[in-house]
Amino acid sequence: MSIYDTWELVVGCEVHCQLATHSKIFSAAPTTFGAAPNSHVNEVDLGLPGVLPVLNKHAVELAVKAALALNCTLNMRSVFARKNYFYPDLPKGYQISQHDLPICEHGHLEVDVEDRAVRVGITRIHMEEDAGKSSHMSGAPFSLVDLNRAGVPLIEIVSEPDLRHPDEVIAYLKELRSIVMYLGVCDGNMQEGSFRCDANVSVRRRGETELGTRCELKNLNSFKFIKDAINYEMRRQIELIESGQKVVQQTRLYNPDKGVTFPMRDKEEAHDYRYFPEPDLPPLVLEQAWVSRLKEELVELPAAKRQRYQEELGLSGQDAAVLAADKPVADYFEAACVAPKWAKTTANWVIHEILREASADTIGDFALTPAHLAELVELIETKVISGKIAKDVLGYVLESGDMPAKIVETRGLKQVTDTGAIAAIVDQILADNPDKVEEFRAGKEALKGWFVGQVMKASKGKANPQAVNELLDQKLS
Amino acid sequence: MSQETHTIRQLLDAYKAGTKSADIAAQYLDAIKEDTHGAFISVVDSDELLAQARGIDEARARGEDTGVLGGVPIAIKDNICVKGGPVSAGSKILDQADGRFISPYDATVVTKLKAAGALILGKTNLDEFAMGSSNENSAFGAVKNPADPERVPGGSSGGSAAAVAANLCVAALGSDTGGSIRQPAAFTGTVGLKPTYGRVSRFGLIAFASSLDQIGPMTRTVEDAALMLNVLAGPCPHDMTSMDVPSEDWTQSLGRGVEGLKIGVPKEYFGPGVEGLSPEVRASVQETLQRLESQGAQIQEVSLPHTKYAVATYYLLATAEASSNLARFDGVRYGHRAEARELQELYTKSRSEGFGPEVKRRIMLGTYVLSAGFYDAYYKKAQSVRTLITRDFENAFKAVDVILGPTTPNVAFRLGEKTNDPLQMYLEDIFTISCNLAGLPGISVPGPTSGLPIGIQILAPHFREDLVFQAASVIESGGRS
Amino acid sequence: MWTRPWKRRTWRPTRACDLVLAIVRFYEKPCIADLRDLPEVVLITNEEVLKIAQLAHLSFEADELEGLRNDLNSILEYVEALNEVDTEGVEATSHPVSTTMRLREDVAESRLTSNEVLSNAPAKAEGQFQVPKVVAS
Repeated sequence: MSIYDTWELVVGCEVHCQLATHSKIFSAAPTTFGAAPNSHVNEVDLGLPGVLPVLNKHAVELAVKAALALNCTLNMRSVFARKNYFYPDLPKGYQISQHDLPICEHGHLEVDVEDRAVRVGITRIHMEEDAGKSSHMSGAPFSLVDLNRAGVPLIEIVSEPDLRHPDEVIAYLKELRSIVMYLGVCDGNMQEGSFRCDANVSVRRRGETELGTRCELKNLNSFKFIKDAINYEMRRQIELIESGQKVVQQTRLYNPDKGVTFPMRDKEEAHDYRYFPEPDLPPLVLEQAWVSRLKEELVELPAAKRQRYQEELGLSGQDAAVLAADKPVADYFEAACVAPKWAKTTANWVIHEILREASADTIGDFALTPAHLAELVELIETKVISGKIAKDVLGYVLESGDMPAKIVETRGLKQVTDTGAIAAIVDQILADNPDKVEEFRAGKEALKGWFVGQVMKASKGKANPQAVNELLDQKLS
Repeated sequence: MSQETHTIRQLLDAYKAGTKSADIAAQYLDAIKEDTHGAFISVVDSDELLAQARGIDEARARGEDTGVLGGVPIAIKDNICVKGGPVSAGSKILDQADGRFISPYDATVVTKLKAAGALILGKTNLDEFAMGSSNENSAFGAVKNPADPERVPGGSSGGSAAAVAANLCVAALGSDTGGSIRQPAAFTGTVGLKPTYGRVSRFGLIAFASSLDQIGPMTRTVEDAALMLNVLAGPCPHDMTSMDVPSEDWTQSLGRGVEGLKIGVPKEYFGPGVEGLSPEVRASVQETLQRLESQGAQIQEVSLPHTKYAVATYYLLATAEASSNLARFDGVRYGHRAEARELQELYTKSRSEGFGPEVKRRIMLGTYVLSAGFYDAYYKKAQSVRTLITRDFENAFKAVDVILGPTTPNVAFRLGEKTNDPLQMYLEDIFTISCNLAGLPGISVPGPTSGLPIGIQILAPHFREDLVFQAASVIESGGRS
Repeated sequence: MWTRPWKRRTWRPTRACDLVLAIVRFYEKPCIADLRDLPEVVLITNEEVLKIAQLAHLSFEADELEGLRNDLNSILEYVEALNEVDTEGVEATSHPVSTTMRLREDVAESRLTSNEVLSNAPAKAEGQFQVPKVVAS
């Protein structure tokens, strides 16, 4: 009996995406990751007396693109607000964010979870600035503050509590990450914190309509941790309730070494953020023409690609999902797939051969280019070479960079389709192995494969396997 | 004062006639050393200033353009940042024995003044974080009014006003959140202009209340104010609230006379209930109106019905914004840091030791106003009333070109006179506050008086500084156009 | 080197201007405002004053507290006057001159070196700002 028979998990996500800009959201300081401490900080990020924020146009463009891709209603007039609290990595004593009027609201995203479509509501997306980083040296009585991150542009994508299983959460987050990476909105790097997830987790007994008390799990920086943390948290809450205790609303962190969540020490004694409209920034007004232009710039998103791969190219759902997950892979596949009728072969090669050697990050620079693959697939499909030989050709391409046709030509790898030549080899093999022929004829049909193998070996792999099969059938009958 | 009193125009003419900027700079530096009014908090390195002045002299001798303010000595209110120099905002939190905040950048207005060839003399005293009306609320001591050293110069730009009045500089910059340029100008017999909100960049001005603050010139004449605004005005890439409206040569607005100019007088300012308005100020305003009328101006009554709510509205909005603007003074990155072993203690002790009592009180009020459950009742309500106050002016300006009244209900009061009776002190702000709430341009220009200086205030619609200058130049000349 | 124009002047606190009482007394006089009897209502308790002080990260001596509470109470009483203004449907003004956002092109530029960033720091180490230990997480 599953835990889900009596309990329902309810999860909503708050995802912070770092926008892929060159400069910060309110200052011209660079956003490059990994710089020396406090080297990417200017007067504005430092919160010096007298400085004022200046909004980055590209950050707005990226936020609008995310809004459009997530089917949100854009607020053509949105307002920045100050969220006031004290923290050493928050230089001004307030974070500039959006509160009452975010850049967009009321969106949704559909994700497939084990062939079920799950519709996840997007409550809102708002723009805000990141804080700096405090590091706590173990043992030392002090902390150090680096403000390089302060002012890096973020969007926070807030979902409705529509997720009911950790697998749904992961599917949603993967799809979301895939989309923002497709759009060039965010580099999706979870290790560097470009894509961060907080999950609001609660449980209730099946059939209940009221939401349970939720805990916010913060700073989950891998899909595995997210899943493990939610599973742990779900069981923790259920145990509390079953033992007659109550879930206390709190922020919790996940310890991956111990596999447990634990309450975060409150960073503010009281959460009263005293939001009010940022007087230093006039309302952000989007012009329709600008939005339309950005809409035209939107690339085909993974869901559309998956559908097209299945419907137009006849790929399986699984293959389509693998190819569409990362834009560089999809781009590679589409560039290599010059003939739709050979899409399946191209897909197989990308998934099973290319992605074994390259990743989404490196495929764009992979030595076997889409042009190489297209030619290779053509050689296979026109029966110039066999699939097995093609794998050797791949190796030669990686060594030399030469085009596959040239390699096949110069190395004499062309498939032998001349039935006369193949028949001679078949005859030779049968003559050399009378005992095996006898066994086959006595009913041991599995030996057929052995004969094929021998013929292929004797032809150094160049014999057309179909022709070999046909001849063997003839001669063994 | 030992040296000659100059206006910008006179000084520029003298330079053309051969006077050396270096000599003038040296004279002003000496005068500041001898100052007994407490007008300055800090002065620039004299060698550097003199070298700069000599550079201007040499350039001028070569026939080069030395800028529209080439060699003109200017003082800066000490809540405006000058690169490489200290900026205190009149507060211990930025400037005391254990640490002095040095600005690593120039305010936009300072960049513009430097580009125009101005000589920056130093930083003038002010009420802490510009919160006050007498300049007695400064961590660096009170400022004396040159018109009568027993009296306050007004605030919060009291140091700038005193420096101009005592000829310790030719012109100065002030900042005006609720009257902080115009009221001290009125008390010291100088000219103080608060430009339209957005006319002059706030980048580099330590914020008190962001939606009300505006930098402006404090000068000896209306013409000098116009010359200064010519330099200061314009949109700024570092200030999104600075407006992209065309600048003009405001000296062209001077001497046009007031023939046909419609001047509105708010009945609420002079109604029978206004006991706070002193007879001498009332008389000065009346005399001014008579003179203007005799010059062809049309005087008519207007109504600003929400005036009586301006003070409440102002204190809710200004303190709320200030509570947030002053959060950055936390002892972490700059400024005073108290001894503390724990972070919360560091914040609380640094701030409590660094801020003066009036600043703390305003932060407390502002924090309360914004806190959970009270936002709508106080902050949002005040923002809506602000809209109504702005509409009052819009309606009035349908009928008249400018609005005229007293800058303050009284002349300068005695030092210490109202620190124990602050009632009268706050009375001083009543005529100046609405202008900031509505974002209008306003000037205080000396009016007729037989005793202490009296300021006449002129308000105009957004970005109509030209009308302000036009009317003010007539008042300044005693009604002769 | 910037200098003080005067010698050996130490910080001298001036007595705080009593903002709140000033305004209340001002309006008790028949000046510009209505002459009204302000009700004696306690709008803010000592406890709330402490809560606000905590939010604002300020501390007050015990003997300052009662005066501060009275001040805040008085001004809150005073601003109740705004309730007589009908603001139904009136838009809130956040910016006095109506305008919309201008935007900055996304061009990165370094204006300060890390030395300049840290130049005013009361305590620093390893190129960073040093503060008492923050969170043990």
